Amino acid sequence: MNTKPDETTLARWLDDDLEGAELAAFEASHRADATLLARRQELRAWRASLAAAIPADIEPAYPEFFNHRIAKAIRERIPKPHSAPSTAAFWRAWWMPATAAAGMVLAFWLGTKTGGTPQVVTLANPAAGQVAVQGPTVYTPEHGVDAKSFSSSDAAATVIVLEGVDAIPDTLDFSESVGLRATGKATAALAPPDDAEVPE
Amino acid sequence: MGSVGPVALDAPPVDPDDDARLVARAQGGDMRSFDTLVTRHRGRIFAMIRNMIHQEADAWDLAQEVFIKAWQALSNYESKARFSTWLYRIAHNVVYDWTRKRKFESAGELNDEIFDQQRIDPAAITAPGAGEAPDDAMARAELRAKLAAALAKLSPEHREVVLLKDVQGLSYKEIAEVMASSVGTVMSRLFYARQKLQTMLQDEYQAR
Repeated sequence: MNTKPDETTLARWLDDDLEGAELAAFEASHRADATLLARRQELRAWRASLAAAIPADIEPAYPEFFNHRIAKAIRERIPKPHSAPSTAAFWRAWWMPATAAAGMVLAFWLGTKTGGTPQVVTLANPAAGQVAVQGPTVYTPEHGVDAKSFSSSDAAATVIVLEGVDAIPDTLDFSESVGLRATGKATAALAPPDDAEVPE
Repeated sequence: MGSVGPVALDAPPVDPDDDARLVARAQGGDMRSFDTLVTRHRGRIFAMIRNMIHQEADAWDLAQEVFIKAWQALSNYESKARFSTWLYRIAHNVVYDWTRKRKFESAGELNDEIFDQQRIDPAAITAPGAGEAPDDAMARAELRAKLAAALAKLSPEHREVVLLKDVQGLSYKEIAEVMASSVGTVMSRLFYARQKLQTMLQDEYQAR
């Protein structure tokens, strides 16, 4: 029967690394081996001399401060919990963009309603003339007169409606103030052009 | 940082069952339990690191780093290994990271402070034990200094395996876990490390 132990088991036994059943099995076969026992004793003495020379446990300097620094570092590295958003913050988060969007829509709608309307300047409303306007500007020299202008590119005509004008007497001679040009467009002028044909 | 000097402790062995209870509470966020764990293990972790790098102040900082990393990884700790073995594993990584960083920072320069092979551990205990005769105390102190100097001449891997086995008393299996190697590698390293140490200390042993 071969009782020679394998290298690993022998090394572990010499170093007191075997336990339980492994230790019992090994010692059952080699308990009386004086050479092995001497080698184990030599190793134990070696470990004892090393352990005596080299401290296995050294209290670090300022041990309380040592622990304190660890605790402080841990506290600093722990992520802080996120606080739940307040109700006011929730509504603020929703209402601010919604209000801004509604404002933009309203401004756009107002722009579409006012952008194309012709501006009329009267003596009663002279400030309107300072506003940049689209379309023709009609000047009415008399107070209380409101003028509206309508253009039609298809008809190639512009109609001016005057409201608040006194009734025109039948005696007024239009021929002194209205002339017809060859283009067919009706125009109004304070004085007839020199080459105008005056109807009979 | 000032130093009050090394103090070897005759601390009672740490009960793994107590460790398990404290770890379970610490995993639940109990800082007080973790603080107790730090107090129980700081001496061995600090000694292990200081014996590896031979620098008191850096060892003080690195030992703290070990416990901070342990806290951060505590949720990953499984009780298959002893808590102390797990801490030694973290200490192993911290020391080797520090060494690599120091080597990188001093690339091209001869830095004899890193794993100085000629340096005698300044923290070797020289205080005589109670009742020890002066001659014995002197001889003992001299032996300690020679052992520390010889240990410092070993490679980091050899020094670590000797410290873990012959000083800290870990099993082969635990050392393999700490150093992330096989039991066979641990046994091989330990054999050659002891052989080198004994050769360096041959005169000392022949005189005894």
